[in-house]
Amino acid sequence: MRRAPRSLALVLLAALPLGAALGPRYGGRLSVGVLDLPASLAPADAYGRDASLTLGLVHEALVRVGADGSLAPGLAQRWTSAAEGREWTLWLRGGLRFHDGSPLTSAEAARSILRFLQGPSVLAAAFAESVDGGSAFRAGSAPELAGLSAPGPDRLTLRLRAPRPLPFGPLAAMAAAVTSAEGAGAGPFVPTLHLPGRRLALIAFADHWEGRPYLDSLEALVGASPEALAADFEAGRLDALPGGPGASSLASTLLLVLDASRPPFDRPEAREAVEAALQRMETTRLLPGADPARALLSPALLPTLPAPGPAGPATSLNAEVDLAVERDVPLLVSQRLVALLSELGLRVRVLPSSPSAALTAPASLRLLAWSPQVPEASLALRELTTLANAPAAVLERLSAAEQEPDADRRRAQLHRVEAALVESRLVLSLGIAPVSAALRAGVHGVVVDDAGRIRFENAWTEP
Amino acid sequence: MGEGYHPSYPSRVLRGARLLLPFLLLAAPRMEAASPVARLADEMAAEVLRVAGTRAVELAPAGEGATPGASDWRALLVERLAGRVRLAEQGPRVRVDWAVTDAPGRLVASARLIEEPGGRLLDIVSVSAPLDEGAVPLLPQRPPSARTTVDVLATSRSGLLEGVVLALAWISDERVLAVSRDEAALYRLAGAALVLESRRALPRPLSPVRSPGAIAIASDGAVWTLTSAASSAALLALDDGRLALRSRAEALPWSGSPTGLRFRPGTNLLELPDGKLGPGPLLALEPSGAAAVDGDGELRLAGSEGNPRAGLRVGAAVAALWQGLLAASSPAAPGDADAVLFVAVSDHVATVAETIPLEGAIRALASRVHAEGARLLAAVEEPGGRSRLVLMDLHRRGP
Repeated sequence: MRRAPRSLALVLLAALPLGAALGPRYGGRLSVGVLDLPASLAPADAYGRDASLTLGLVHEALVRVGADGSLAPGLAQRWTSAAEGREWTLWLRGGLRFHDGSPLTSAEAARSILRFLQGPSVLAAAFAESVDGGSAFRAGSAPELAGLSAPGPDRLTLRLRAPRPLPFGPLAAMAAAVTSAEGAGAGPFVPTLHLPGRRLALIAFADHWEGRPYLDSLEALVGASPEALAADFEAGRLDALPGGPGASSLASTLLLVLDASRPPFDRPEAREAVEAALQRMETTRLLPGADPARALLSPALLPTLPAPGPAGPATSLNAEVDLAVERDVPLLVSQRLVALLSELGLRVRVLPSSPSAALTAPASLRLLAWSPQVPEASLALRELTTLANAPAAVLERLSAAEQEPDADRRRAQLHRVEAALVESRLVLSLGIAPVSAALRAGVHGVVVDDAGRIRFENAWTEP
Repeated sequence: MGEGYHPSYPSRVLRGARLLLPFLLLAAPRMEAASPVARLADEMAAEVLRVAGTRAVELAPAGEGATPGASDWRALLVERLAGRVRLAEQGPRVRVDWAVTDAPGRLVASARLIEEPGGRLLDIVSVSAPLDEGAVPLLPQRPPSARTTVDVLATSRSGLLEGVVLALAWISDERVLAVSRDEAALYRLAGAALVLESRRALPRPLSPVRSPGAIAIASDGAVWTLTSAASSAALLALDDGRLALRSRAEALPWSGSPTGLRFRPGTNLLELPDGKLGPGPLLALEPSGAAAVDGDGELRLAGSEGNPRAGLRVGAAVAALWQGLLAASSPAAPGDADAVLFVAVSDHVATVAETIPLEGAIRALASRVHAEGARLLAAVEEPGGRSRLVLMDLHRRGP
């Protein structure tokens, strides 16, 4: 009587996949296909899917931004304020280390903040404006940052020019990541081999503040083209492929940036004509999973309001324009845009660009798959106003919103900034697009955050 | 804030939170005046009146693809405006294009106010109302169809709780302790809500553990808890309605083990000296000691003539129901879907008798058994790193 059921149970057991996964497991390695690797692994603004993926593996910032847009702990585990919100002390976690084994203390954190402020990041400019002496330091007219001190190895003090609701949000940017004097990072993976343009190999960092990542190692391999990477993924030579269907988040806005200093877009009616033409974009048909809302920010950052009334009829334009197209923009979208612009009478010359080059490309039009450096509405709008070279009135509204302590009034003001940007027609949204990664069967734990960063620190593989 | 923060990925969290919004909105007209949805309508009505002044107001209908129940929220707003302003769809008026969304811990309504005719933007307003953290809604679900071994008489599912619940323990028929990485929270089942009665931090310092484990064992109104992040085991008990720390120990006391239970450092694996369940490490241990799940996911049964292996793979959560029946999570990889397996045990052989799918990954199970009935509570983790509780009222079928 007993033998038969046990046999049955063994049959059932055999029918289940051997090594069935019970949860995250330590061990294993992943190969990720990318189209590009940054020339340097030093912290910097991470423009584009590949740069944010790779720099995010290596680096860690003092703070993060939480789901509600407020600051969340990173290397700094807590903070306290004094002087009615003008002075903030950030307390570092105990026992932090860099990849090279050296201790991570407030001295390194302070040095990293100075490096950030001297760099080109848009958010560094915003941060400099808010810290005592920040603008002078950034401009090079002051040798030290008056508003920054490290009173102990485990704490930093920042003195602000005025109280703000998100006092040190820019420090969540990749460009503000904390590095050692020798440039070592403190992110979840330790780079062991970096061949720019070819390969980046990394191993798990045992002393990461959240604990060792599950994977033993990870490598990012550069492919010649999206088609070549897709073929490698299909052939099983890659375990993860950014851009493929899989882990996904609506974290990227398809933006068309119009340069108002160049004809014909120096004329508001020309910009209105482009806006009207975009109404026939059919983003969701071209890009399954996209949100066709013409909002500039994803709903995770700022609620999407119903679209305003339809734009007027598209008038004809007769001009020759350059269109810089960022590499991460889906081909169908850029092709459709060129067709719509051509119907307007524009003769379009397409300039394929890398994500970082597309931001500053000398073109009348720039088409970007844009994700914010920090997933918070005011900082994202700060980036967009800079990108669009927005009028001073919009910047003033944004500054007022940044200092508004009441969350509801602040949100309403940010809505107004977004509306003013849309009204200016210097930057137009084609819709909110998913950032995604295809994963081979048995790979779990890969997520995409609201900054469009594909994160592997909780990735694990079935044995 | 601070120690114990577990990073969450905002978009996932928002997606998870959005699951709650339709329920809140659908229930809106029946909610009492002080509910978050009603407060949100009050706030928005005040803003609309401020901008519109004496002008007529048109409230745009719930847009295509709007959250289910959005029309009900609109009805609440209409109620608050009626009699204070003229509602009109034609003629000079202020049109209100609105959207209701949810953020962690809050409901948010934003609106664009437009002068009609003409389409001139007058203002954009935004208001919010905090969700009541102390009373997490418990929403009825459709019970699964009739079963052969267990009848599921009723199922309900809570709103999102803070953090990831790793262990559960019933301390009475109405009270349950939910243990996360760094704290324990005591909830009381009160009709259609889980009322948070008390919270208590677990012993510091906390160690970094990427995938923490926890165990909670109730006894005489108190609960021993241990997580792989906390520095020691804690005995928690209710004291004047609050959780109080009664005792601390290096290891969690366990009958028959002089050294007690500990987690393998940095992991979710429980070390257990060789005994009725065989040697550790274990992914899950049933508080009665009747069953466990080993590191490979194989179910172990106590008293199996020296061989506790049951020959069945399950997931990392297990709870005893009646004699000869266990509940366990499924052995599938954690993801968007999991299942409760009802496992029949006969002659030390385990077989899956029933399977009930659940959304999310089951991290913990706890049972409260009465004769032929039982309440089974499951803690289910959503992709954003927060949990819900799923409550099932069960009835045993046949012998």
